[in-house]
Amino acid sequence: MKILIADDDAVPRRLLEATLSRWGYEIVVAKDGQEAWDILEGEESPKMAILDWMMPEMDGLEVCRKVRQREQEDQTPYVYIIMLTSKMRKEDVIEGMEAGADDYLTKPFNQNELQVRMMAGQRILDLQAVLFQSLTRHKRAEEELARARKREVGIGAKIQQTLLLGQPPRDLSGIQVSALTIPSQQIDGDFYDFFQHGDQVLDVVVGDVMGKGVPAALLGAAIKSHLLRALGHLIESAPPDAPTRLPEPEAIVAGVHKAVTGQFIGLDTFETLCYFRIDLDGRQVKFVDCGHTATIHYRHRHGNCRLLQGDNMPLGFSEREVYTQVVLPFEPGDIFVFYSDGVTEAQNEAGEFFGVNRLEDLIRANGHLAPDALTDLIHREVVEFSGADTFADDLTCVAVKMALVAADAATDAAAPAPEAAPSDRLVARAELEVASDLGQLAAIWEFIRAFGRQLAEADPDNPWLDQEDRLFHLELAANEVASNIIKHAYEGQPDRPIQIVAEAYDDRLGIYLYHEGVPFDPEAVAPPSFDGSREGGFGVFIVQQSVDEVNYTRDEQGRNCVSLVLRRQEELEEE
Amino acid sequence: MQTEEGPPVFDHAAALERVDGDEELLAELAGLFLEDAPGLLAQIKDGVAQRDGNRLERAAHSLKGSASNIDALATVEAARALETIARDGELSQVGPVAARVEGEVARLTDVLTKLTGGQG
Repeated sequence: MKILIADDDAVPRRLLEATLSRWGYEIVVAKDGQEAWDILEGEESPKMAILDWMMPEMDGLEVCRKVRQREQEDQTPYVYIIMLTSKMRKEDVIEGMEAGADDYLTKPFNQNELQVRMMAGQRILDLQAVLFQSLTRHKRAEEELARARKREVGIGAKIQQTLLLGQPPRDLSGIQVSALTIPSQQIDGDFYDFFQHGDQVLDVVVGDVMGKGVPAALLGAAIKSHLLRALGHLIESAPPDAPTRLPEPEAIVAGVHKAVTGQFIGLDTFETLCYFRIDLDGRQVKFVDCGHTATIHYRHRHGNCRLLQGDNMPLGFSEREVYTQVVLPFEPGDIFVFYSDGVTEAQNEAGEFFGVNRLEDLIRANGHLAPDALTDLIHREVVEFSGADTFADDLTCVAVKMALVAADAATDAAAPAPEAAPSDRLVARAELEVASDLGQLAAIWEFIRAFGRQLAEADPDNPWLDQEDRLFHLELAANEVASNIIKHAYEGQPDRPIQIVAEAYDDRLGIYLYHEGVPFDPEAVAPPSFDGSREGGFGVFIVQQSVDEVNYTRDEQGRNCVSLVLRRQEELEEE
Repeated sequence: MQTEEGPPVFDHAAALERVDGDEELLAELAGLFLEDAPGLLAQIKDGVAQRDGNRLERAAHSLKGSASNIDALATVEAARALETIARDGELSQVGPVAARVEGEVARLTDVLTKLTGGQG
């Protein structure tokens, strides 16, 4: 270890230097206080200094004070200072202590005493070094953590905005919907979404994953994706003679439960959920409540509120849980309010919760408001109650109000529904001709995609706007069919013609692929084997799964035609 | 090397123990003392002449410190007495005390010169 010795007298300076050198220390000497200070200020300065009290230029005390001041101001590593003096009056000791000296040594020093003092100093310095290091590490880790948290909040917020929160439908007659989210500093797994089936049925799904942060947001997104998948699967697998292809809420929830509960139990987490279907035509709601906050039902005719609650457990509690739906009627002017526990568990200064009763009272007193005015009011009241506009939990609130004019719609029931007449109005048409070359598949894909885009641009309200997933499946099916035409119908010959026609009608989208090759018989194709033992069959299977209708026909010119049709979803329900 | 009363001019054994038996180092320290002593004595004489208590105190303090490191106890005693008087400002009394310091340093110089083999 390097030690500074500062003494203006040669004899004690040399004696100290010789003694400490013999003990293995590396010595730097200074002949006065200024020189000592210069050395301590320099690069790789000694961490221990033995300073004579009385020195010209700057005495030992002043050097000591300057060192301590610098340590405080610049956070430099600690210097252990031993004052060397022949003064040993009590007031001198106090003065030295106040200046920041760690220890004293009286001249002439005793060897044993010097050795003991050096060891004590060394020990203090070692501890200081460990402390300094861990402080630095701690500080750096804290900064890193703060950055990571900020990043996580950003990621979580993005996940929430893009994946967890659906847009309330705006174009449903007979119903008004408003949704409000005030994100907290942390990310909750709160989500809501709306699935519209035709213009008579709206599914509202609200959920909350246990826990916070990105993991909760990801689980929320996973649940949402499972909901869509269960819904799609049930629609696809509905028997053709079923009165409606629209699956019941309890079947959808059961499908999600089957898919996720095992995983959730493994992850030691759960999710509360309410799947709520509003059937305008039937004037009833059907809901499955998986341990979520109770839905508030404002009854316009009675001017009161009731809490709707099922008795199922959250998803992820038990694999044996059987989810059942509750069916209730509603009347025009009724309101349903869904909310996260961030609303009811907002606290005021006294630590009281906002509570569901306060929320019910608020809704009852303001049942005349439109849903967006109502959710705004709820937000304002919660802010005022808690005296803060930032919250520990996300604050989400969805209000659905049944129009009062719905009474008129009931009288219209006798009149034929406008949907009864299939609409054959051609909205858009496009054509493409390519050679039978697998290299053209990308062009076909791009053609269909461009057609979809063109539809969206021509009509911002077009029914295919929110159906990217279905359009993608249509593209996929067309790609499969074209690939089959090239490989099988034309048996790999290049330069044979394939014509693709895209047509959009009010109620359906059709892609027609014409070719002059060998017609293929879909019935003759074996179902696919999923173990990979046989390559064939997949194409037809994919095509059938991807679109609503597949037809193999022959046109007036003797060409073979494969037509792929997607129907508007309300069409499906009426079948 | 012993005066009639009072401490020894130079306690060789104690000095040697202080340097851990290193004769060479002791000789080096003695040499350093011999180099510094004339300057300190000159400052003391000047301090007496100028009646400069600060200067006197400082020089006496240095002399005391250096001498103590080589166990020149008689010089330490004399220098301490001079330092005390200089600090307390009784400069009228300082002459004899300063003279005593000078005498002790002269006696010590003799002893140390022999120790260093005449190199001082």
